[in-house]
Amino acid sequence: MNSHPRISANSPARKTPAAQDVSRRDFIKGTLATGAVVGGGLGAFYFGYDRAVGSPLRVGVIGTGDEGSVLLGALNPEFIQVRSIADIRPYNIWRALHGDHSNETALAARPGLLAKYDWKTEDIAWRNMRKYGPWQELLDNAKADGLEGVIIALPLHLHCEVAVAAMNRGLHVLTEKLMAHSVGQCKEMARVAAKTNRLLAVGHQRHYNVLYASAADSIQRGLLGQLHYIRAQWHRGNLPGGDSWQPPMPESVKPRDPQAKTLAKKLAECRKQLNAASGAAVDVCRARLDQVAAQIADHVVNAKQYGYQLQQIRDAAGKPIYDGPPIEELIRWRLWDRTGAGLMAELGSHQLDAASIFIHAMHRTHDPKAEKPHPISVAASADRSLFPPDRNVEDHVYCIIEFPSPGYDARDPAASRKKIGVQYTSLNGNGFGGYGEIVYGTEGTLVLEKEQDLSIIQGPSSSSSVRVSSGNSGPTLDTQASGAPVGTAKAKTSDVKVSRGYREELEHWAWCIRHPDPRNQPRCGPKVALGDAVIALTTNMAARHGVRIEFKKEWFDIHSDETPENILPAKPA
Amino acid sequence: MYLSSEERAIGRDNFHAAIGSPAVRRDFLKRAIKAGVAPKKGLGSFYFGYGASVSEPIRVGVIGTGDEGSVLIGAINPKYVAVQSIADIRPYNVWRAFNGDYYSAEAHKVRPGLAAIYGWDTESEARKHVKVYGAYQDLLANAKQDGIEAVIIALPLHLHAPAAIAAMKAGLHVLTEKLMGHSVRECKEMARVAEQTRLLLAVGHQRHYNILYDDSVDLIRRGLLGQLHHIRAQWHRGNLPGNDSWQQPMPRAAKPDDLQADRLDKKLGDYLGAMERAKRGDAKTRKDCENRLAQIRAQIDDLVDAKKYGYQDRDLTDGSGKIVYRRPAVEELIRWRLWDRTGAGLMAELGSHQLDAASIFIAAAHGGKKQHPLSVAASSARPLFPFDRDVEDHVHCIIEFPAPGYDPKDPNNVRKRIGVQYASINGNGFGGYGETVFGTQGTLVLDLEKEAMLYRTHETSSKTKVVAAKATGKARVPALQVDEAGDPESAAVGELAALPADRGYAEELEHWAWCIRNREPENQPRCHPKVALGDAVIALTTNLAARQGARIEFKESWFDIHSDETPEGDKPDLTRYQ
Repeated sequence: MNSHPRISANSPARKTPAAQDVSRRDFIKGTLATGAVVGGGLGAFYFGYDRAVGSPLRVGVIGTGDEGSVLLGALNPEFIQVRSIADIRPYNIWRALHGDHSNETALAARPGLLAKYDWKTEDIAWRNMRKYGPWQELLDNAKADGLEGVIIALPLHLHCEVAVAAMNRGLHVLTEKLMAHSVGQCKEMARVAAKTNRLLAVGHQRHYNVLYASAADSIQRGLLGQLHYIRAQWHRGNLPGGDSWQPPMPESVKPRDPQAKTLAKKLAECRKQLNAASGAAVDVCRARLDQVAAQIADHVVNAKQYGYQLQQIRDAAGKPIYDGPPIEELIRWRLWDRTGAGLMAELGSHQLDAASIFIHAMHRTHDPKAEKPHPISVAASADRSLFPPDRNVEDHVYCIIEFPSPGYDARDPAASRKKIGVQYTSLNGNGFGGYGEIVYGTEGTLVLEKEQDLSIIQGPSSSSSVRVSSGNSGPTLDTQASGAPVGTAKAKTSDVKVSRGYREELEHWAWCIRHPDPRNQPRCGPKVALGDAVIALTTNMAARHGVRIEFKKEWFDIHSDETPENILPAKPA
Repeated sequence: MYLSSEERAIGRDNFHAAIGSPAVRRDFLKRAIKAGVAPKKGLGSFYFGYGASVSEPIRVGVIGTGDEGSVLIGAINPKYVAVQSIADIRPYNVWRAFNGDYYSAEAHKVRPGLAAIYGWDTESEARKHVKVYGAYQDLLANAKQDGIEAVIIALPLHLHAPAAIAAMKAGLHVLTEKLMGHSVRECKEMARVAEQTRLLLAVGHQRHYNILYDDSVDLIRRGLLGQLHHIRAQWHRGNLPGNDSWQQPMPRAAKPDDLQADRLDKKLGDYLGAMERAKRGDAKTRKDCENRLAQIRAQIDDLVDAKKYGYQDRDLTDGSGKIVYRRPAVEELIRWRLWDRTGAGLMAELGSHQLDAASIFIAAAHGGKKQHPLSVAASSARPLFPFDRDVEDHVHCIIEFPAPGYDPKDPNNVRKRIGVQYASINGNGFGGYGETVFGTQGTLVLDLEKEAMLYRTHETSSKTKVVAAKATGKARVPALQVDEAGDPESAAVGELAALPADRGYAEELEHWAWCIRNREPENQPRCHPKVALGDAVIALTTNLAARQGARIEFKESWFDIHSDETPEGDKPDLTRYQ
């Protein structure tokens, strides 16, 4: 029996156990039948692909910064072989190889390719893969390097250009989210994917998180009763001077920057720590020192040469009050409208993606063949009460997005009110409440926290948390009930870290490429990703222009030329 | 995303330690504890600065003694307020005014009835002291004869303005339940009549008199939360079709084909059965059963010619014009909260209180200076309830307020705004109701008007302590710091002081009565016409935004009693009341 996953069978009395048990039983039956849940294989089992692909997919990775390095950390060498990487920042090349030694959590998420492929030295790494600066060079050498696909984790404004260029060269693409910087760009990418018959996947990783899949399954089975409201939030504690989107830059590129001295100070600190270190700590300290040195080495980048621009902010009189050199636009690209799209693109898009998955599941309760419903309208607001004028993007965004409830009919006085409101907040300055989604149904409440914990609270007096536990043979999904009252129940932290879905997203993409069949499609393909981008980008428009916008179904249609950008409403006086 | 009981306990402790800290209001609270203040026992006087007594209770008539009117009756301190007359067209409400509400122990606590408040043994004894009218006009016509000086109004919303204006014209001071009026136009009309007649008009947003809110405002003004940058508030209720607190059962005879037509008769049967069983029980159980039985009988006998009082029959039709729901006039009366003509939905009933609280907190962030909101974007939906009402069962809104430094003419400072996110829903009560205030240094959670919790931003598992930290300027301002041991000494003071915290109804009534007895211009109810108008503008404009599917920018003139501009477009017109 040791080869089978451990199943905790304790199931105390629950208020409405039936649906929940069905859900769990089917899952368990499946795992037992295949014996599949071993190691990291939970995703493969859950999302319906095999545990191996034969020969790993040969890919180039374009953009190895914060997010690109997370993808490198998540990839499974049995599915993917990295043949080349490209980044114009030396620091990112360093991190791609060595990982992120800022702290333990960072290193776990970004272990670096040396650790991933067990290459002892940089030299060994360069014998196994090629290094490029600009992405064009990587693509120019794609054939020579034997690439089949590319992973793109560049600043948002480049997703379309690079993905299209890659597909036109016959390469499959997995690009980080948001799909692109405008809906028009998203449609272009989707059309090129169809024309070139390449697989284009977009990195909304919740599509590959077993907790989300389990939650959607529970909703579809009616466990929550009628779903009627979703609230989601992403609260982060970033404050001026301590903002994850505004990393420090080498002093020489902008001596006047408020954080100009940060890296030099850090370097001195690391050197001191290294001198004092002994034993295993020496390696840790040396890695940290090398990392800061690499970060300082970024001063050599000629960002302007790669199209990055001077950013200037002016006051009411038109006087410039802030200058950002091109390299600042590169390093802090999330803060600028030209290169990023703010909180909605970076954080909100994931969570509204999740919300639309849940609402789709609810529609399928009534009709298993129901299409994914598009939202009806968005009203939004954005402000920057905390950060100074050193950026374009806001530090708070709020929105209300209406989706149709089953039975919705815009022309009927009663049925036109059958809508589901999704209320979303993303803010800086106070991380109270963290991030997650709460799904309200008439018979239960489902809470997803930090992509890690799923609780289902039924009625007034019982709650259960679905958790992933580590059995003898690997992680398993498990439902447990606890009798805490509503509002005080709290899911236990899973005893193993739930995969956020990056690994499975990459595995599935590779598997689909290895198994060409119209049915084998990434879960976040062009159509789904376009929908997510429409929601995020239209919300930005509603917030900036101070209007409520009704979604048009054509915006979600790859083959229609209509986009929300076209209807940009006149700005009120 | 929600707090465990351990986190809640820590948060309560942190709040108590903060308010009880010497750097905050320890001395003040110690004096309160020493004085032994409690609701109706000096608490309001201590916190809100009015006198500990009035020379003689004000003589009032109570107009409308339903759910909310009976709560106000329960909150009366007889030393401040003497009820001389009541008016309600529903016999059931008159019964409750005297006897209270026996549906549950909690209900009886908040609605004990006039007899209990004034120590009258029976209803007939009480009726010797209190005149009873049906229509409010009759009560007003007899005001002089009954010797009343003021009225308390707890009628359906559409009657607040007509009744308040008629009362003031008859020379009576007014305390009306919230929302102030059914439209901004009506609110301005009420405010203008109050001004012309020089009478006191108070509106029942009771959070103005809740000491937890007072303590919270104190914390914000002292800068303990750092820079306030977001407020989230919600009121989630579990009402579902067939079981909706706003859709009360009616006597079968009032609407024989109503879905709940059997409800009261069935309840009567249950109570009769319980009575039978109670005959073998103790005296208290028997008495409870008798009271409950009397109440259900009063509810069954509640037959009113509602049309005579202006309530209307109405048919609801679907898209093709087919009648799908018939509503008799009496249903509009009994379920007035569900209909646009008589009520204004979730925003009026629930949201207005919480946005009132939000604007109190935001004023505190501006050094006490009240701020008007900039814009509202809203959405409302009715996914759960059938077509048996006008009002929605979900409303969501985002309201923007100016943050300190806001400047509409500056491209950067125009973004210095504070967003308030609000949701009021039915169908699932998860999360309950309350307000959460986000600052850069701290988070303040107010729950159910009964509990306050404080955290060092996201650190919900950490005890905190208030320390005197250096400010950027010369003054030393208190700051919230994580501290493993917390501050038990301060927490003990804060806990003791917060013990008598109540929703504020009693203090609201006392203060109004005291202002009437002490007519200096500076003595004004805390929720006077200007404040209440502001709350109504927010609630009613949010309704407009939700119904029209638009984002609306507030105009300064809407908040100005003397301007004729209103969000709905109708100008105030006092000739309507002649």
